[in-house]
Amino acid sequence: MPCCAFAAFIVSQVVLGFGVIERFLLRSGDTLDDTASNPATEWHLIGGTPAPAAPPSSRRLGLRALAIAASIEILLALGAAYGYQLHTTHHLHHHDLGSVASVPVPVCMR
Amino acid sequence: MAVIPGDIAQAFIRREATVGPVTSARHRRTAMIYAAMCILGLLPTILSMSPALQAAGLGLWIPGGGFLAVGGWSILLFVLTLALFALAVFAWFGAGMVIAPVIVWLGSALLAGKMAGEQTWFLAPYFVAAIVAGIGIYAYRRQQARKTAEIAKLEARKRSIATAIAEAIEVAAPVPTTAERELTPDDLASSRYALDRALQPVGQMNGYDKVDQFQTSALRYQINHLGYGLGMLQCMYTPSFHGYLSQAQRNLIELYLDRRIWGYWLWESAWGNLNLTDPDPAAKDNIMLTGWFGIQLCMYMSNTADRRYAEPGSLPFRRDIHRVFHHDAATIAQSVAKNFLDSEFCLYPCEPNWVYPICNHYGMTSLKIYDRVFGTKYVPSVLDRWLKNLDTEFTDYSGSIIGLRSSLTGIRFPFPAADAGFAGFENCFAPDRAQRMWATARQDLKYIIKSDETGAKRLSIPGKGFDFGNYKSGYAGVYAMLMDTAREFGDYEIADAALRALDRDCGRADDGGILRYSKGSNLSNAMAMRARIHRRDDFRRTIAEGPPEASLRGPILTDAKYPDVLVARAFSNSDDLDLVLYPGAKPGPQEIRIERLRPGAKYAMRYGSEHAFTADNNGTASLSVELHGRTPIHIVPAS
Repeated sequence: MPCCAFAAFIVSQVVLGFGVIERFLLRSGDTLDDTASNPATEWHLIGGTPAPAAPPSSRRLGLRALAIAASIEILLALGAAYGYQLHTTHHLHHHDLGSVASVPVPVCMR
Repeated sequence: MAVIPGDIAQAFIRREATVGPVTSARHRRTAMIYAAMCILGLLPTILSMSPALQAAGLGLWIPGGGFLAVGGWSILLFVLTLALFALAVFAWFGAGMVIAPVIVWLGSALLAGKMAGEQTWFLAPYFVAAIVAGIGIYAYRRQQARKTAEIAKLEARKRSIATAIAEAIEVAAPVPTTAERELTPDDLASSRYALDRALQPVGQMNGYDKVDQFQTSALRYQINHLGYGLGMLQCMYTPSFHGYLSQAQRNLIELYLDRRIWGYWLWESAWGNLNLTDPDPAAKDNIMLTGWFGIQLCMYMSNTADRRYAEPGSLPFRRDIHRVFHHDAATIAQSVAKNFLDSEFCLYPCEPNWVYPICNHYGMTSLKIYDRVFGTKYVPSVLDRWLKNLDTEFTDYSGSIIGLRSSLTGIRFPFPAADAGFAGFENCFAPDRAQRMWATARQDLKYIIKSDETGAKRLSIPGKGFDFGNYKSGYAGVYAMLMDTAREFGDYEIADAALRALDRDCGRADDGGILRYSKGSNLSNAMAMRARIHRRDDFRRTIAEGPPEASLRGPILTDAKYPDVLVARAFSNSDDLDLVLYPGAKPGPQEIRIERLRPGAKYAMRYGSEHAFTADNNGTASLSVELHGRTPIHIVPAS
């Protein structure tokens, strides 16, 4: 089980990594809408259009996504650390059992 | 300028090598370091050393390679490390974070060593070697394919270059005379886009795109291009109008000193140059600041004869209350010149390690205008070596300038670059080369000129494009750049085709007296504003000649309310003042102020009828004028 948790952590990292690359570098998650306007260009110094009442800016969305991603990463890292610790303990346990098995006492390992 | 096509073509045809001596040396050094890593990495396996050392050693061959030796589920870490390494390279490219790939590569090797059990996977060395060989073969083939394509392009260019240059010269419109200089209502509406942004209180950045401060969407480039547009406008159309136009340029210069604009260098200096103690933005590298800002500073001083930014310490880059980097126009120019002289490539990096030829063109242009304004000789002292290295170290086999090269490794990194983008700058300091470059670029542009439904020519590029000013889709920046360059070389057919494409595809909006492109970034809009007012050789003349001498001595319009009074033309022959004004809001009376008149002298103001006035003892006069549409005003000494 700990090995599987560790593997799941690694796989999730790869999947998340590709997701991030796809979204932020290739921008495949975006709707590439040709008609999208840039609100920054609407701003006028005097009169006219006031400073646009910001549809959530890409920066804000980016920060929100970053916060969510960071939370997931922290959880995954904690899980992985826990899994790795169990994994090593598991191996040590096997090692100990092996030592025990070498003495002439029958031990049911599984 | 007498240009003989054959002479220009000759230099282009003679060039043979693209990997110059400095690049070759960097390639050799990189190869030797990698070879040493491979040998060092293989030794533990050959000598049957501990599994930990064997795993760490294989990790030196390729990032994450050691995890193959660890075996089991850890093999997945190999894939993860490769992905991380790709991100680290992106951080290296994007923000000069030289340490990122080093940390990932060596860190993964150490981690693999730490994770290794009692024995390594026996097939790991073979897998690692096969993967490295596979990558090497793929890279070599790709490089050869690119080389073949570039050589084929060169051969095609050689066949057509003389004709192309002759054609480019033939279609070029003449340089407009001073009498022809007047902004149209569309030009004025476009310039208001830039003025609105520049005239807001220093420190405010309404109407800017705020994405990142490292790459092309950074605020500094938006500020620079707004400044270039206003500076060129003043030089070519209104050299005798200071007032809010000069104020706007000063605001942009002073905004540039805000730490939010240049603070990126504190980070890049640390993680790129490992300099934590003295991250001076105008010392080592950072031509993306010094070169670009230098042009903006000198344009303002050239246009107005105001030398405030030449005063020592007049440009304080304040990091915090404890540390200020004191600069001025001279230290900015010195930084560019010194880095050119110190760099083995002559061209030098923006972000630590990454040399962008385009930013180096800005740098050389900044020295050109600085030399003219302050009488220095930076350009003559460095230009020959700079051009030679540009040709041998930063030019591909087709004769085009590459986008980017790593100064540490010599590796050419894929980054878009267009001959047209370089040509406008070279027109300022190497006009013959610029003419050749524009001629070759123009040949390529012919393929994207199409007729629209009315039969009018327009540029048409397939796909959704990419706007470097906000990383969204769109062609506003590309069309603006092509229009700007075409106008610089007097090719109004291509410029008009680009303008039509801009107006059709990029969301032209005329609201509140301002012309903008709603689908473009702020950077693209700033470029489009400059392109719209651009005429033959305007950029070269702004840099290499400056405003007419008489306008620096004669009367000037200094006070006019923005946006109530729009100035479409302002020239002086040293005695008179020739203005064309428009009402920006509503028709009616407006107050204007004239300075640099002869103290106590009598003048006549002619617009419709003639009005007499007398300058005060300071040589100034405040006048009331009625503005109804286009209003020409001529102020002359009373006879």
